[in-house]
Amino acid sequence: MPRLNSMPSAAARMALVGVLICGALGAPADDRVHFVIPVAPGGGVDGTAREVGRALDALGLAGSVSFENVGGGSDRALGLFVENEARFRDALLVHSTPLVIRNVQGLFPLGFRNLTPVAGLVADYGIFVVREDDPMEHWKAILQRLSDDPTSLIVGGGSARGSLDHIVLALALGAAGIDARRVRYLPYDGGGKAMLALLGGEIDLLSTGLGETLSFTRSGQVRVLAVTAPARVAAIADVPTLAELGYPVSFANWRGVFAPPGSPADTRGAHVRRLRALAASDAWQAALDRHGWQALDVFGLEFEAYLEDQEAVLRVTLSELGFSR
Amino acid sequence: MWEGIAAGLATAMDPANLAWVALGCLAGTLIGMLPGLGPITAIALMIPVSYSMEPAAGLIMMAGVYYGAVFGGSTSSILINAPGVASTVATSFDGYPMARAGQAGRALALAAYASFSGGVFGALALLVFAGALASWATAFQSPDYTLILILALSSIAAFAERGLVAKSCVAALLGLMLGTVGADPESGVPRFTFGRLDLMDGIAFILVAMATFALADAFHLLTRGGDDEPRTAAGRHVRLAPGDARAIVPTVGRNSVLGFLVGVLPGAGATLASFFAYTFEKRFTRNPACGVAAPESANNAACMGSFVPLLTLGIPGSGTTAVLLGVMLSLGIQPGPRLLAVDPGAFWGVIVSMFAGNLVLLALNLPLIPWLSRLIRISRPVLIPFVVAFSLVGVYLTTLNDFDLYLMVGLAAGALVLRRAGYPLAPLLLGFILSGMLEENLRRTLYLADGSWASLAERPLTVVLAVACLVVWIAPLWRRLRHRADAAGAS
Amino acid sequence: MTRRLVPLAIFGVAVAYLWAAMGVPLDPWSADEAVNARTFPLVCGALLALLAAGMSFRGVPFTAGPGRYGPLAAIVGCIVAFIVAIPFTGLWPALGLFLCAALAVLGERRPPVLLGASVGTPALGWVLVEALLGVYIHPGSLWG
Repeated sequence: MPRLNSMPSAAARMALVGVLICGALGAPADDRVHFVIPVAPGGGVDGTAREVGRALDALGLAGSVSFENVGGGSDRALGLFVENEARFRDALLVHSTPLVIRNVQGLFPLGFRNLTPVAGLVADYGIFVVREDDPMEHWKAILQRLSDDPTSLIVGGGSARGSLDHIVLALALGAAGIDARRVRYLPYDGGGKAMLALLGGEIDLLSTGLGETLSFTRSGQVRVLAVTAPARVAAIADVPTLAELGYPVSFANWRGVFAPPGSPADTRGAHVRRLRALAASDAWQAALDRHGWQALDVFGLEFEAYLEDQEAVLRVTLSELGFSR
Repeated sequence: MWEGIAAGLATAMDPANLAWVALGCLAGTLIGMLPGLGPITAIALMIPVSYSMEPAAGLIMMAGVYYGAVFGGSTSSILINAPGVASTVATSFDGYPMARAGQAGRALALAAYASFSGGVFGALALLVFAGALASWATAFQSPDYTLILILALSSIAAFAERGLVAKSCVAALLGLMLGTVGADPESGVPRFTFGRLDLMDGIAFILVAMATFALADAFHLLTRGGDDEPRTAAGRHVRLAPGDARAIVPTVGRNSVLGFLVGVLPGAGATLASFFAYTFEKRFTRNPACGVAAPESANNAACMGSFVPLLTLGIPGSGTTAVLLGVMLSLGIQPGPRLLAVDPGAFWGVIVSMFAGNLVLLALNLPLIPWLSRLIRISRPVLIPFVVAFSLVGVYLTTLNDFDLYLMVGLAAGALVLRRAGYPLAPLLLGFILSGMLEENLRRTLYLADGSWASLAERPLTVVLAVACLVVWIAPLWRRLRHRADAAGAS
Repeated sequence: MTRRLVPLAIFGVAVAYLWAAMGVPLDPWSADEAVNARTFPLVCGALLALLAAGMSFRGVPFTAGPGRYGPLAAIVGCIVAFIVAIPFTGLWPALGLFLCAALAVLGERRPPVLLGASVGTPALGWVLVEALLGVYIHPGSLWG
């Protein structure tokens, strides 16, 4: 039987009207969590913000949760967040790996050092996918083909040339001594469309994130050859990691939250405590399972160190591969 | 399949689920009418409501929000020439002139009936062909998309009125150029941003649509000052004109099929469907009733069609279905090839609920028409500030960036100049909408072809589309030549 | 003169666009490819330049009659004031002021209409968009 208990939620909205009218007067500021999302609704970063907010609300870890999708591109959103201290004092910015990539490549001057890292919550790993009927059944077969002739396969990905999916491909191929710059890479507008191109035969190999194509990778119409996770991922337990195959490479597209630059230590501490409680909860675990996300769970200074590591890896590989300016 | 449909019928006819579909449609159609809030925002805003719901009920409601917003989006296109969603731009071509001529009620009623028929046809096609059409979605490759997009662009120029072909081409090229502003989709480098971060993400569709249509139109009316066209008092009737029903039946029929098939294609969707429907229909008739019915039946059928890749493959073909995919995942429904086996109740339930949803939408929208059409009868000095405010707020709500509002006023001024010089603005908007997709597919095509065009001619689909493009350009030339020969023979 | 003015202006736009397209920075990893970030803009700009040059050479009829630009300038002034006000007052108060001013400029003098529009519309907008739908809009720097 369908439950009708979502009526209260509609009613709660109406009540919110009342609260807002009377409000702004006495509500304790630290009880409200405001998420700034640097992209339009839809997609992984927006989904992460909304699932975090939903779980915080359900667990009673926040008095109220609000979301602000800042349009006009993630660079603009980052600029606004960094520069308008008064406006975003208690807000949290949700971001992901391109924050580091664009900065390392010199495409945008602001990076995580201009923010106060609070927590890395979700990791999405790169996967390499072929059609189910493809004779290349193993990652080694792909590498063999590409080292014989780097132009013999067309590789598709869900993001622009020189950005995430292309970099993951380059890292994986670079570990096997193949010059990724000579491999033919076709960018698509998102992993979904790239997956359709794989099915339609326009590309031979697909480099994308697991989360974006999870329901499809489980369908049996495609075969996942390798994953860039440090250990096997439960959702696709039969897929080997690159490290198992003998190439010591792992790379995660993280999604995490940041406080504005120069946030006082106690504000950061309060955020960290709240998100640690979130990460330990069943509600959050259920959210991760629904989307096929992996937990990252690095907080505060650990998260900062994690980002520094990733930056160092990217700085070296991107300049080796000729992907930075 | 029949057991599945029976299970779906049981799910959809559950009184609670009927209530949810009605609520979803109501919310969707109302949000769709607000400035700047299209289907994507409508779905995103309703997400919190769906959290505590049963998965199937939540999906049924959210689907209702989606097609409800598509249904309601045509209202502002018709009444004040302010298309908030790309798929309703074509509706304004004939709908707005009808409203200006005092037939707002008729245009809205036509749109409502055509949307309803397109939606019902689309749901029916989804019910019967959902499984079979999954492969149609993967059959089209980059060269085919490139040709479809060129076909869409050239048809608007080739079918332009006499003497307007060159001006239409200029407008379409200006639109294509506006579409190249922002980070290059293939390499991420900034183009034509002049160092402004505000332009990195490109110019929003709604900004260009509101600037070139609603705002430029309001400006144009202001410069015309006193010489008002006579306003008839006939705006009140909700009815179709005599003969409309018979005229639009074949229109709705063929454009629903067209819309559904184009809607299945990822990325193409409702916008292309509505433009194709409009230009296609103008080949048959000059009746403006058909000019409203064609895009409206096509975009609603296309909206149903976009559920094919979403439900059967788990792959979103458009921004809206991408948000819907996120909703399904957070409800715990895994769309994709296994959905049918794992959760037939949700799969068939959402499809069957679409019939009920479309009935609800028709019942909701028809009684609103007399009220809405009364808006158009407000005197002009009162109406214009509201139209301007509607379009400005619509753009501001999309990006929350005041730079965009300055840009919008600048574009509207440019559009006013073009308009007063007799350039049609619809090709500009079409060029803008298709620019990114065209460039992306064209570049992939060129990259894949690698200099050899022969490889492109191997696939029959590509050849058929290429021939269609040629026909669109050659047919009018051929007609003109024959016309000239006839004239010479007669003299 | 007006027969050629607009096509000439469009030609100018096309040339400026082509010039900007030549200046698009190329990534080191795609600079050596035949088709890059400049290709499509260059094709569009070149086509437009050719077309506009042809049209300004032949001259095209200018259809519009004389217009009155006073009310237009006044409304554009109101719009610019509205945009300038948003960061300070927030969206809804600015909208109320805009509606009041624009209606007055176009000759509306009835107090109930002016008041109803400039208070009622923003209030309705706020209730629908912010309170009911939960869209967050920054309230404006004047109010903290």
